[in-house]
Amino acid sequence: MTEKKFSYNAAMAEVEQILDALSKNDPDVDELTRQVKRATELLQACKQKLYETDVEIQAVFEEK
Amino acid sequence: MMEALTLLDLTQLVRNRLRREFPDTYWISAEISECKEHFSGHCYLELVQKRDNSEALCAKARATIWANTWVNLKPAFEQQTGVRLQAGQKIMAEVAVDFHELYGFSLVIRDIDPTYTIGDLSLRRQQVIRQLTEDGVFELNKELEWPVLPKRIAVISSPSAAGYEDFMDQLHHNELGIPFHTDFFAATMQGDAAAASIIDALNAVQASGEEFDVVVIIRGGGATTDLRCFDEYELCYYCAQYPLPLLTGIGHDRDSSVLDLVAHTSVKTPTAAAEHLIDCVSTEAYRLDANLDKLQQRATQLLDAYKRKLQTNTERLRRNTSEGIHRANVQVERNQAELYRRANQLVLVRKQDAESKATRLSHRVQTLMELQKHRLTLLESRLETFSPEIMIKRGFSLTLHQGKILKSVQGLKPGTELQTRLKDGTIYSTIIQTDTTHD
Repeated sequence: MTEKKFSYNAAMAEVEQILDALSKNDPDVDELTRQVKRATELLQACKQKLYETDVEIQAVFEEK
Repeated sequence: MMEALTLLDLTQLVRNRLRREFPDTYWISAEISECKEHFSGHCYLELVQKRDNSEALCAKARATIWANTWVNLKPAFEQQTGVRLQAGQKIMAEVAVDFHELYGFSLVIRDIDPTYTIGDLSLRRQQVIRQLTEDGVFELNKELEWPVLPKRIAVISSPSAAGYEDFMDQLHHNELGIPFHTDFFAATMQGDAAAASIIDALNAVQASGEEFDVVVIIRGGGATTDLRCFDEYELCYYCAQYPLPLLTGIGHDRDSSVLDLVAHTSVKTPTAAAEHLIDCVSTEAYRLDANLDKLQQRATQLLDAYKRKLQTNTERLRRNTSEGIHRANVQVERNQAELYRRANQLVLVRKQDAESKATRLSHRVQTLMELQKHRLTLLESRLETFSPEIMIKRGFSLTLHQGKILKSVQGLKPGTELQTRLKDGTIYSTIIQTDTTHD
């Protein structure tokens, strides 16, 4: 990952962008693979972010 | 020629006849109009009789008391009557008739019955008292208020009287050392001149300008035979109306004089008069002392009472204060409890609110998270459709011509080499025939 700071929204937007691109264009297999790999990574990151957020929220709730 | 009798013959004749005719003695009553004691020891009197209720004389006679009779008669009479034989007195006397050629008719007094004179004096005294009472003055001096502290004293007395000395000595050397102020006013204290002299002295007291508490009239000493002056109407009339209280100490053993009766207070002797004054002052002093004691006692009592009350009040105050404090504490505690309850309530409400918000937040978060997860899943599954590896894993295969995925048969001719990618490897093949339809 090149981004210094991870942005969930940006990641999601990029995933959608990739998906949209994949729907319209007709990339070769390597490009496709690369794009899917990229999107998958982003989704994994988003998942991780969601998980972390969940944990943080639970922690915040439990602080009370 | 008749032989004439000489005067002497005749008077001798009369004398002899009289002596024969009046051989006895007779008891007669008469009033003395004159009385003179001769230096020779005889006593010469003139006896009179007045008409009833009048001053007019109806009989008069000279009388003699021979020295040898008089020497016994005089003290007996004076002792019993308290007065001297003098003009104005009524007497009952035993007399013998006498006649002297030179001095004429006279009576020789052999004896005098003093009880008659006493009765007469008493009668006259009663008359004076009755008259004073009728005049409405008899009680006047007695009605004056006796001073509480009789200390300024006008003394009326004869300067030479032993009674005066006694009085002054007694008064000024009293045991208690009470100081008395005395002013002396001289007066004749016996005989006919006494009444007028005492009145003069009383006037002098008035005229002196000094303020006196009482006037003391003392006689004291000397013969007790001449007290009749103190019965005189004029003196008593004056004294009864005197504006200051009178204290008499005339000094007599028998009945009080009328002056004693009208005086505010009367005692027997000058010494007794002094004692009376001392008593008055000392009694008052003792009374004052007693009152002072009482006052002190009462003050102490009151003070004690106040102290007790103060103590009681202090205790009550303390009790009330601690009660108040206790009440206030209770109130504070109650308020605290109330505050705590209300705060708890509010906190609870807030907590509930917060909790409900938290729950909502949590739900919302969860929803959002679910949404995101869903989106992710969705994106994942969409992505899956683009992933050659996944498709291949599922059993699909990719047919490639010159590196590109074949999606159509158009343009493909038999003999064209193709690559088919499978899960575990690649098939290299050549097209035999193409058909546009599946069977």
